[in-house]
Amino acid sequence: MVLNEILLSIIFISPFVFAVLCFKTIRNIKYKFAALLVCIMIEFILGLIFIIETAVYGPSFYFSKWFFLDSLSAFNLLVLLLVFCLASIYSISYFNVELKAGIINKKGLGKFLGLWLSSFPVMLVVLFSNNIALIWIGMEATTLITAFLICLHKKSSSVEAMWKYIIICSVGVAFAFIGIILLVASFKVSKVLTVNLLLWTEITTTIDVFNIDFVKISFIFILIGFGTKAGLAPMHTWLPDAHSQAPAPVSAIFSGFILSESIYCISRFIPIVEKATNYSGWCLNLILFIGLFSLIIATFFIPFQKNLKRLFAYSSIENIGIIAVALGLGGFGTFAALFHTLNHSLSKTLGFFSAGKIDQEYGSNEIARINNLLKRIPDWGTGLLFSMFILMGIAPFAIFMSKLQIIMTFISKKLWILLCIFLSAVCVIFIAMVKKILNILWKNDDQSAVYKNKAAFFPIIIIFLIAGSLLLLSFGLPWPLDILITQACQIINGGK
Amino acid sequence: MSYMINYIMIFTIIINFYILATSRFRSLLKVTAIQGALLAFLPLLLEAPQIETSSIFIAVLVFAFKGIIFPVFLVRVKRKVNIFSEIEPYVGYIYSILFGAFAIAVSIWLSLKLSFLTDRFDFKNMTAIFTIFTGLFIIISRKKAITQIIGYLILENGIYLLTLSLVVEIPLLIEIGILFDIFIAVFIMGIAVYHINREFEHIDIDKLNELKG
Repeated sequence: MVLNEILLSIIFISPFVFAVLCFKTIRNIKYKFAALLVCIMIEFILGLIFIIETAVYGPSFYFSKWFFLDSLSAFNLLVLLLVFCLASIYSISYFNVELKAGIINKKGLGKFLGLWLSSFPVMLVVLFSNNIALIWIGMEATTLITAFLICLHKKSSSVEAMWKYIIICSVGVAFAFIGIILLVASFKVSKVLTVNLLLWTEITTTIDVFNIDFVKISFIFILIGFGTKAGLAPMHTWLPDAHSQAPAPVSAIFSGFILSESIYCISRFIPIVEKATNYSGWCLNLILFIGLFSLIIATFFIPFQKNLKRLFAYSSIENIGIIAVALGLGGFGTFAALFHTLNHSLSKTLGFFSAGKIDQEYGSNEIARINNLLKRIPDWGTGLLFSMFILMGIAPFAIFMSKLQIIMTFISKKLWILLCIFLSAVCVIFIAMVKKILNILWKNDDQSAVYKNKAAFFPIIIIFLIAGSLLLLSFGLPWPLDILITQACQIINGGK
Repeated sequence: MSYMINYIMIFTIIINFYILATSRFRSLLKVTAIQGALLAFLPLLLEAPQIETSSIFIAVLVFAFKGIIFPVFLVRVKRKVNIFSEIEPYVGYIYSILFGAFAIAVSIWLSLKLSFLTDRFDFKNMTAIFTIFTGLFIIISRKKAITQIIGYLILENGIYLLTLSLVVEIPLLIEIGILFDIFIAVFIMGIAVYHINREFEHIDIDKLNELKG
């Protein structure tokens, strides 16, 4: 156990150390990037050790039960590691281009790396913590540290997006805290158990008697609060601005991980509320309806998007809505929700990487200005088309599979009207995305132009890695991942 | 001791009405600081006469942060962006006070519903909910970015009061963590306001409407 606690301390503290190194101490740009690579390698290896240990041995506790890792946290940790490491590697080439073009200087790069590396351990705190108030502290800290990553390029629009993000998400997370307070107040316990009152494992196992009305009110606050951070409508208004104005690696970590981390926080409270309301499915219905609402809102906005990154941001709202719908269905839907989390994170990451390169090449993200895409940027252009196709839900990629699983769950629960709403929303979005993809593909105005860019090695590797894994995932989950997700489903469904 | 707690609650309610009615930043900051400082004494009064050392520690920290550090920092931000008053809010000052009266009625009703151990009306619950309403109202009805930060501080004051009044025993480390979180939040919001001013030459959030759709 002591060895594990030492490893846990290293995994939390070393990014801060590297952040300070990259920010101030290391002057040379190449060494800054080298430090970034060393840090993510350490974190990746340590994180994998924890995930494999949890998958094989079961949940384990650290630091007097304030920190623990079970299958649900381990699965989200896997998503975090994948997205963060890919985004860090991508950011090296992204910022090299910007440094050469003079958009950012060495000081700005140091600021980015310092904030980027510091945001990793606070995201880890949310995943590892057993203490529900510590989850709140981690979410608030994530909001604050990532705020200045949005306005890295100082434009008026990015400053506006940053302010919206800070205010809306801070108020939202404050609401979540009211919910946590009300939840803890609803326990009818004696003084003896006060020490463990905030521990999630204690709440789900030992505490039996709740004041049901308090629990219901607290869950509404928690859903609205963490739903703000997740991008569930109608609290989603900060999302398109923040994701479109941030630089590409930051958008990737936002869409790829932070949104699903907020859904993770909500899903931590589902078994508690379910147990308190006698498994009546009250909270699941709430999540289902708010997910459908987000899906409908996204359907209204996606066809009218002219900016590529904003389009991807609304697609994130759509996919988080789909994940919430699947969570709210329960049963097999929980499995589909977690599977969809993984697929969405990977494909959205690829999408934002490509959008970032397009921004650098064409000077703006307007879809109308993308001209001669496959000739001008052969590697990332293909990546963009792959990501847009995969996000739409085209077979045989993994997002098609997870959407199919959700439809199967709808059918098995005989919710026909809701299934019709779900299908029509998904179809409208499909048609809108196809139209945009065709617009991009068929815009070849200047046939005779010759471009110097050849397909480079690393982009092809990243694109094939992501697209290939999404293809393979649709045929079947690898056995360790399957076990992890199944155990995570059992945690959310409360062993029912 | 309960009469002193009631005095603090009444004073908090009066401060909330003052916040809803005033347009000047210096007075807004001063009364928010007084509200925070008053709340710092609550854990001591609630536990009297057997006061634990952890409560004294928390009380000192809360007094230092909410009473001294936040206002000093926000005054410095205000000086850098050179604003003195909130000229034309979305909701005028008279209507704000009317909202305050309405909010008190709703808070009384809600706290009756939330009455935990007794069916009697609990003053602390009511004040907490009213403070939360005031904070949220300030955030949505005022146009200057600094006023939104003050609204966030009032919201956090209300949440702290709700925590104390629902007799929730939170470990010392978590209390320190929450306080530190709010400190970082105010710090970052202050720097963000400075960035807004540098980019736009004003801090009117009404004019931050470039990103639409």
